[in-house]
Amino acid sequence: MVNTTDLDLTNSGVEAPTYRTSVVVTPATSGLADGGGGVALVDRGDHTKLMLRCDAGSAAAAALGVSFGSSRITDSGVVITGLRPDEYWLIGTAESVTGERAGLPADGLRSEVDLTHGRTLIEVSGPKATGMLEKVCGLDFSDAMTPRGAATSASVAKVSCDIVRAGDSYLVACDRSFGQYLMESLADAAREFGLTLGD
Amino acid sequence: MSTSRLSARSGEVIDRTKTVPFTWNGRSLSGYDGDTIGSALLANNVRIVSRSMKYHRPRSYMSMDYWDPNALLQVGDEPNVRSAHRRLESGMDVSAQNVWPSVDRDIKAANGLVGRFLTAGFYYKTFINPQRLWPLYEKVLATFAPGGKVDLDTPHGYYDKRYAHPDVVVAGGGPAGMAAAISAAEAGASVMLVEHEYGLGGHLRWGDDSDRAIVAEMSQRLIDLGVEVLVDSTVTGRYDDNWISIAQRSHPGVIERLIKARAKILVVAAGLIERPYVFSGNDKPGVMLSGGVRRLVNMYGVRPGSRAVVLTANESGDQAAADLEAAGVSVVELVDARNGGGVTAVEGSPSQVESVTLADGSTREADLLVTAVGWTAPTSLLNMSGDRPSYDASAARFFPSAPPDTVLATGGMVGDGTLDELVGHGTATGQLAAARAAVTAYRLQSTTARALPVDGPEPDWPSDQRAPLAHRQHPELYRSSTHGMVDFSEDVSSKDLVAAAAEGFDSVELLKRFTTATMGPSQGKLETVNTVAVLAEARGETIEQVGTTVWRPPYAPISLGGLAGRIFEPVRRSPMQDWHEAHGATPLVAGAWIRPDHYGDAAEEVRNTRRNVGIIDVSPLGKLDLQGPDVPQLLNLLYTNKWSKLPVGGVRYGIMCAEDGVVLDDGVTGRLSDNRYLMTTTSSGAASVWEWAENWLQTERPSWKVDVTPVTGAYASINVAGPKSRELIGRLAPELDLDPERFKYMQVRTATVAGVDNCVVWRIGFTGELSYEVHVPAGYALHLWLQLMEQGLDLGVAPFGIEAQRIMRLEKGHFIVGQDTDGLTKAPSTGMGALIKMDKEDFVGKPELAWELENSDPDVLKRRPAVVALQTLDPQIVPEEASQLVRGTTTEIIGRITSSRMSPTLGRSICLGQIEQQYADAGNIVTILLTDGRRIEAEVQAHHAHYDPEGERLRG
Repeated sequence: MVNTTDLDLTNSGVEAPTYRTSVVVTPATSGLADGGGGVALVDRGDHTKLMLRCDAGSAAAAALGVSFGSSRITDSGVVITGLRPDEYWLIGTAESVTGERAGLPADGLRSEVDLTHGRTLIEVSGPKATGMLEKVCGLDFSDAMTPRGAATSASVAKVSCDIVRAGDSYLVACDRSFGQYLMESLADAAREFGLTLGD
Repeated sequence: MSTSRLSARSGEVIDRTKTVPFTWNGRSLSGYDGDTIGSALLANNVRIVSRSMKYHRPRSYMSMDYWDPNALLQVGDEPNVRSAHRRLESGMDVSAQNVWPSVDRDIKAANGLVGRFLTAGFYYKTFINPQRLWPLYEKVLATFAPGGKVDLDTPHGYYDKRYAHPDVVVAGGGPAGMAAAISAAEAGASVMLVEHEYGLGGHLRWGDDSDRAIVAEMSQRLIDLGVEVLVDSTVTGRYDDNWISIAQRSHPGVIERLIKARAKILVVAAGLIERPYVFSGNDKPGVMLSGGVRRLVNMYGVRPGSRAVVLTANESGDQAAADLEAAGVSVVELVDARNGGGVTAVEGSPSQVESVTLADGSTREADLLVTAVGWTAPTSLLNMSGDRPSYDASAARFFPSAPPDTVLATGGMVGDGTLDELVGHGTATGQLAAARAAVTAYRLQSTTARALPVDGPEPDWPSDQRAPLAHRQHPELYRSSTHGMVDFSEDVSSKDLVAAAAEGFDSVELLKRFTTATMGPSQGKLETVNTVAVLAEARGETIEQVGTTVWRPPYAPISLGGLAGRIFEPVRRSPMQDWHEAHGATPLVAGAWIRPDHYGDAAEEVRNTRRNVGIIDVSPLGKLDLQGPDVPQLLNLLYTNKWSKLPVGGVRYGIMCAEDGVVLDDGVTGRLSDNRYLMTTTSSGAASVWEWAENWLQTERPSWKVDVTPVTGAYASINVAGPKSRELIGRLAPELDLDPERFKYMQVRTATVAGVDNCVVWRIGFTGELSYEVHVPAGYALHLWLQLMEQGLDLGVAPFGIEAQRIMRLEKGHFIVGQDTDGLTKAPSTGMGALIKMDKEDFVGKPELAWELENSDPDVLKRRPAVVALQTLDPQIVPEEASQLVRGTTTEIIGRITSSRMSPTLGRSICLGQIEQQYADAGNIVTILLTDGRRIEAEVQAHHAHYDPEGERLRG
C-alpha cells in the first residue's frame, strides 16, 4: 500500500461532509426581497429527488399512481410525479422518500437514479406565483391547461426545467449547475410582485 | 395663426389643477397633467416643431395621434419620441431634431430651393461615381439624415417580457372592440383588450358627453368582468397559430415590455385612420385633419387657429366644424365635398397658412384648413394573417376580405353604422370569438397530457352568423387638381410618384422601394392609399387594379430593449466556482459554463502537477448514467470499438461517429456494476450525446432496454493528477485499495472519499500523469475539494485550471474533438485506427467508414487529412492556432495547426495539426505560414505525444 506518511491515515483528519445546495443567496438576490409576499421562493435543494423508470402497466407503475403529466402528494408528503413517459420522480425529505420507495413492488421497476445532488429544486408560491412564471415561461398556466397536480417540462428563464404544480406551489427543477442563475432570474422576475425569500 | 388654451371643457383629459413644467429647446414652458407633449406645445403657441426629412420644410401637428408624421422630437436622451402621443411629464427636456441653428430658422431648408432636382433616387444616381469618393459623400450626407441623437452612455433601462394565453385578444379599444371584449368575457372567455391610446373609447373620446358616458359604462363592465385591459399598448404582430406580439408601454416600472400572447381567437377592431388630402401646400403648418382638430379641442382644450376653412366629406368634418365654432374659431367656409366642393391649394409663408384656394378659384383668408376626406382601414393584422383586403370604390376605402377563421374583424374597419350598430357588431364578434375559443380550448386540453380532461365530444366549430355592417357611400378624394405631399414622413410628393412611375417603377411594390413612400415612421398608415391612388391615376387604372403593398409586422415600432427583455443569460457553475473566484481564478466562458482558466500562472500549475500533485475542477465533463441489460449493445452501436466484454470495474475509451463517419464525440465509459455503466462525454458534447443516445434508442432500437439519465450536474468531477496523487487519494479514501496492480490505469471504483459515500473514482486523466478522477455527489463537492487542499498541503497540492490542462494534454498528445478535429474529420484521420473495429456487426458510421477504407485511389488517399504532432524547428516559435501548413515555398494549403502551446515541461513549442496524408510521415519537414507572413519549418512527429509517449507516468 502506498499510504506512508506521517499524517494520521485513519481518516480522522477528514471533516464530516457538509451538504451544500446550488443556491447561494447573494446580495443580488436578497436585495430584491422586500418580503412583499406576492411571490415566495424557497430553495428545496436539500430535498431528495429519486428518479425511477417503470414499465407501463406494471405493478410498480400502478403503485406510483400517477400518469405522465400528473402528480400526487402522498400522506407522508412525498410528491410523486410522472415527468416523462415511464419516468417517475419521488420528491420529499430523505426519510419520507425512502419510505415510499420501500413500499413499491419490484415488478416493472427498471432503474433508479438518485438525483438529489443533480437537480436544483425551487418552490414557487404566493398569490402572484403564476404571474411571475408567466414572465419566464411560455406555458399556459391556466387551471384548465396546468391544473393542480400537473407536471411538465419547459424552458424557464431560458433553462430547461421540470415544473410540478404541487398543491398551492409550483416546484421548478433544473440541472444543478444552472441553480444559482435560475434563483437570481426568478427573484428578479418576482420583484414587481413583492418577493419573499426562504420559508 | 396662433394657438392657445381654451377655457375648461367637459370631457377634456387634462387636469388643470396640476401644472407640468417642461422645456422646449431650452425654454421653460408648462402644460397640464394629461397633456401630450404636442398639446402642451400648441397650448403654448409653439407650432413649428419639426422640419421635413428632405426639404426641411417647417412642419406642425396634423393628426395629433401616434401616427402624426410631423411630431418626432428628442426628449432628453431619447430620440424620435412621438410627441403627439407621448404624455407630458414633469421636467421633460424636449427639443427639435436635426435642425440647425433652430427649428424656426433651419439652414438646410435651402434643400427646398433645389427640390425639383431632389427627386426619388437622387442620391443614388448622383453619388454613384466616382466610387472612391463615397466615404466623403457618406460623411456629408449623414449630416442630412433625419432622426434624433442617440446617447451611447444612456444607462440600460429595465425592459421586460411576459407570455399570455388568453382565449381572446382584442386589438383596439374603441366601441366595437370594447363590446367584443365584454361579450366574449360574458361568454366565459378570458380576454385581453389592447388599446394603442392612453384611454379606451376610440373616437368617442373626443365626442360628446353621451359618448363619454357610454365609454365609462363599458369600461366599468370590462373591470367587472375581469378583462385584462392594456392601454398605451399596441398589438404589433400576428404570426402563425395566433401568436400575437404586444408592445406594452404602460407597465409600471418598465420602459416597455413585450407580451407574447398565444390567443385562441384574435379580434381586430383597429378602427379607421383618417387620410390626408393631396394638394398644393398640404404640408404647410395650419393644415390639419378633422380628427386631429377634434382631439385637440375636445380632449386637450387647445384652440388650433382663429379662422378656419373646413373641407368635409363626412361626419367627422361636420363635427370638427361644429367643435371649432363652439371653441370660438371662426369657420369662414365649410366646403362640402359631397356636393362637389373642393380645395386646390393653400398659400402663405413657408410656416403658415394664410389663405385657402377653393375649387372654384376663389380664395378665403384663413390660418387653418381642416380636411375630412376619408379613411384608411389599418388592416395590418389581417394582412399578417394572410388576408388581402379589397377596395370598395363606392365607400372609398379598403375592407377585409377573408381572414382565417381564428381572426375576426369588427368595428369601423369592416363597415359603417350608428354607434349601436357598431357595438352590436362588436358584441356578435365577441360571442363568436368566445364560442370558437372554446373549441380551440377543447382541442388543446384533449391533446395535452397535463391538462384537465375534457367532457363530452368536441363541439362543432361555430359558423359566422354576424349581420354585416353596411358600406356607407363616400366620395373618392385622394388628390386635388394640384400636386402635394403624399408621404409627409419621407417628403415624397405626388409629383415624385408620377415621375417614378414614368421612369418605370410603376408597380406599387417597386414604387414604394424606389421613392420610399410609406417607409417612414408613419409606416403607410396615412399615406399608403394615397400612394396607390396617385399611381392608379398615373397608370390610368383603378385602385383595385393597382393593389396595395403588404403590411408586415410590426404594426408600430418596438424598442430593441423591449425585444431583448430582462438581461439574463443562463450561466452554469460548478459547486467549486465560488472557491475558484475567491482564489484568484481568471474566468473562462465555455458555452454556458464559467470555468477557472488559470489561477495566475498556468505554466507553474503545469510544473507543480508534473512534480507534485494538482487538482482541477472538471465538473462540466458530460456524464450519462446507463442502466439496463442492453447497455453493451448501445455502446457497441455508438462507439467504434468493442464493449461486450467490459468487466465490472473496467473502463474503455471510445470514439463516436455520426452516420457520415465524422468524429462526433469521445470519452471513457466505465462499468460500475453488472447493470450500470457511467459514460463520460466531452464537456461541450454532453447534451448532444444524450440526445444522440436517446435518438438511437427511441427511434432506431426501441426494443433495447436501456435507461439513459444525464448526471452531469449530479456529480462534480475533480481530477487529482501528478506523481503524488495516489498518496493524496489514499489519505482521503483509506478503504479504497489503490494498489497499482489491483486498481490499474483505465479502471473505476465506487468508494467513500473524504467521508462522502457513493463517489466514483476513475484511474483516468487528460494530463498524462498518474491521476484519479473523483466524481463526487455535487452537494459534497466543495467539501471534497477543501479536503484535498487541506490534506495535500504537505504534498504540494495546488489547483490548476483549464489552460494548464490544455497544455498538459497537448504535451501528452490527446486531441480535443472539435478543436483538433472538425466537421469533416472522419475517425481514421484521428490516428485512432486501432479503435475502429470494422469486424463488429454494426456501429454508427460503419458503412461510410467501410466505403472510406475500401477506397484505394491513391490520389484520394494521399489527400486525406491526418491528425499529427508537430514540433517547430525553432523551439521558441509557437505558431498561432489555425496557422496554415503550406507546400514548400508555395501557398498551396496542405493542412493547419489545430493546437499549439509553449510546453513548460519540454521548454519548447509543441503542436497538433491536420495535414494531408502524403505529408504526414514522421520526420517530414513541413512549412507553417504564420499570420504575420513569415514561414517557419516544423517536423512531423512519430507519436501524438510529445511527452511520455510510452505512458509510463500515467500507468505507474
